[in-house]
Amino acid sequence: MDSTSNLYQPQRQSPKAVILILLKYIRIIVRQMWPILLIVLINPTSGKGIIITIIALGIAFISLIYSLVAYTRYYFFIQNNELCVRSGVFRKIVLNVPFDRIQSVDFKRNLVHQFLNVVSVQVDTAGSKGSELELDAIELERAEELREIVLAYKRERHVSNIDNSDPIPPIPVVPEAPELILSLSPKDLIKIGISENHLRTAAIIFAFFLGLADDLDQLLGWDIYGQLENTTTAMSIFGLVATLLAIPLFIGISFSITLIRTVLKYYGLKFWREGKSFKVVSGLFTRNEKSIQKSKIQVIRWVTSPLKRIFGIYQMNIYQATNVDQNQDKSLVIPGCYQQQVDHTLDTIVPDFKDAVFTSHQMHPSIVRLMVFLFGFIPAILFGLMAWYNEGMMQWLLTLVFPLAIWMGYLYQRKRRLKIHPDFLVSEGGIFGNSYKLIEIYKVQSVHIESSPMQRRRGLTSLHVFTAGGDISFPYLNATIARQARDYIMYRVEMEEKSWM
Amino acid sequence: MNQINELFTNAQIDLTGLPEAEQMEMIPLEPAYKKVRYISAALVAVIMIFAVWVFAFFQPDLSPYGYTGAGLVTLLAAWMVYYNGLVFHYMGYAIREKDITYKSGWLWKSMTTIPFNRVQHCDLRQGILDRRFGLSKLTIYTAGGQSTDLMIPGLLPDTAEKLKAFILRSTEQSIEQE
Repeated sequence: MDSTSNLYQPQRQSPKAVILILLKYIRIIVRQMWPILLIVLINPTSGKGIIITIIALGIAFISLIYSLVAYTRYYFFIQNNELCVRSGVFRKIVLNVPFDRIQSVDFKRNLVHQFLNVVSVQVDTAGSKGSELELDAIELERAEELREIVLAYKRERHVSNIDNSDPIPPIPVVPEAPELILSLSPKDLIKIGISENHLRTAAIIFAFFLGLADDLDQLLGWDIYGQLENTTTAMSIFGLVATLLAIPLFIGISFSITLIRTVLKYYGLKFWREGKSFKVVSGLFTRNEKSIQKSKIQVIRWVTSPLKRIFGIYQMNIYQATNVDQNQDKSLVIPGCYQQQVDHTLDTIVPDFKDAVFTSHQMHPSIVRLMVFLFGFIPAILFGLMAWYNEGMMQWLLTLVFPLAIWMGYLYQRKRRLKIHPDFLVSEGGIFGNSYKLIEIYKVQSVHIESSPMQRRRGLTSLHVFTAGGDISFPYLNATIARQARDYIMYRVEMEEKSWM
Repeated sequence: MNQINELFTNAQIDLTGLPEAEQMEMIPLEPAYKKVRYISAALVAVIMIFAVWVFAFFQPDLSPYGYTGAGLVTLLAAWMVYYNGLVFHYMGYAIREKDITYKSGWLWKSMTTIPFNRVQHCDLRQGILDRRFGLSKLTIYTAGGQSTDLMIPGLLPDTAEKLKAFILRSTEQSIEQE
């Protein structure tokens, strides 16, 4: 291997990268086209199968060419304390990542990497999508050299900034004793399981079977719908009884699935505070441990539904700065806790929140009209037409979506609040339940204001405030308030000396 | 209804003294970019129009609905091309000492502001049409995710390069102060 490799010169990855790039594309293609591939495997000699095989080979060939070109067009180098990448087959893409923004440089080796004796380098900037940078394959020595340069730079910066409040030192100097904020007993878990959203599980099960039926229908020509239709029309009384029985059965199954899932997933959940970080440990079979550093927390959300309110419990989510893709994975979820535990957690994370006096702003009532139009009027018209066309008496019931939308729209508008304090922003809402979302203003990343012609006529705008772990969106806000909020947030962020993470 | 028209009822800061993003002078984009918008919209429109007319032509039993529909789509496509060119005049950006703002839209207006001390990185891109007309796109990324990334199209490559350098410098300075 050439030891004179100079990272300050634009250079290509290891030639072995071609193989890895190719594998990557093939994986993407296979993931997209597995149903078609399945046909070929089931029925390889049919005419369809041959054509598909030819197409698949063609695609494989094109991917090979594409990988080769992508490889030759890909250069990386270091310049002015930035990691730069030039790439692009059809378009030219130049990407610069300043060392300051780099959170970590990780190496990953899967089997192919090990076989080829290269590593994939992942540069995490804890930023937006597209800002994470991955070098598919470079030699281990070169990767280490690269990491060393970045780390050396960061160490230097750290030493020169040591007197300042720098991001968390790797090892806390005085390890504090972990404090247990809450733990869930089996009784709590059952309450949580009962009050989970069963409709969602039902919808997932339903969608899964529908999707499965659809796939089989297309793939193998099994006409499931036709068969269903035949059986139901042939024995209409039996069909009716079956439907009547199926509904409670279906609800019962969804209910048990959610309950079991909740208990398994959150079994023995414990929520700890360890010095400057929070940790959630849970699970019966696979014990999951997730932790978040306090400084990385961006958004705290707590919600309750009508069912949850009966038990007096809230679900709490703590979101941290993360790549948007992995938002779900990196948030701490506490599926159920009581009011005082919510207060206690908030108190630990944002001590000033308790005494904060908020000014609250409502949504303009005209939002109800928009919501009724979109979710009530239009669907009602469509259902009405359908009922009229099919002459189905039962289908007329679906037009009840119109009064339902009026009611829900009214509840929504009445409950939505944007609460502002010099340090905090809280968004409140919920149609039947209640939800609260809290962000600290100095952690805001950007502010977006937009307005439609309808909104402008009434002097309204939509305000979106983004952090690295989620956003607060508030449509139909008084335009002056929205603008003032934007100007204030900008002022606050630009004056802030504390790091946002 | 009791409408509150103040941001804070217990304001500790003089809100009227804050710099207002609304009063900034917006820098328009390069006029050549209007052509790029027209051309790219026209390409889409031509494909759309072609597709619907072919469809209407080969489905004669649908007439006159087929042709009426095709006519409507044609009008819609023409309007889309016109609108795409028109909104060019409503696009612009403004740079202040500590942040950058980009606005766009004629009917649906939008305005995004990003403070320099939240910028993660920037990149410059050129599409095929951009290259032809000597233009560049500057995208500014924050940690707030894809929806907050700010893309300024229709810049001269030189201006884009300078802007990028300025933003990165300001970002670095703001970090040093922290």
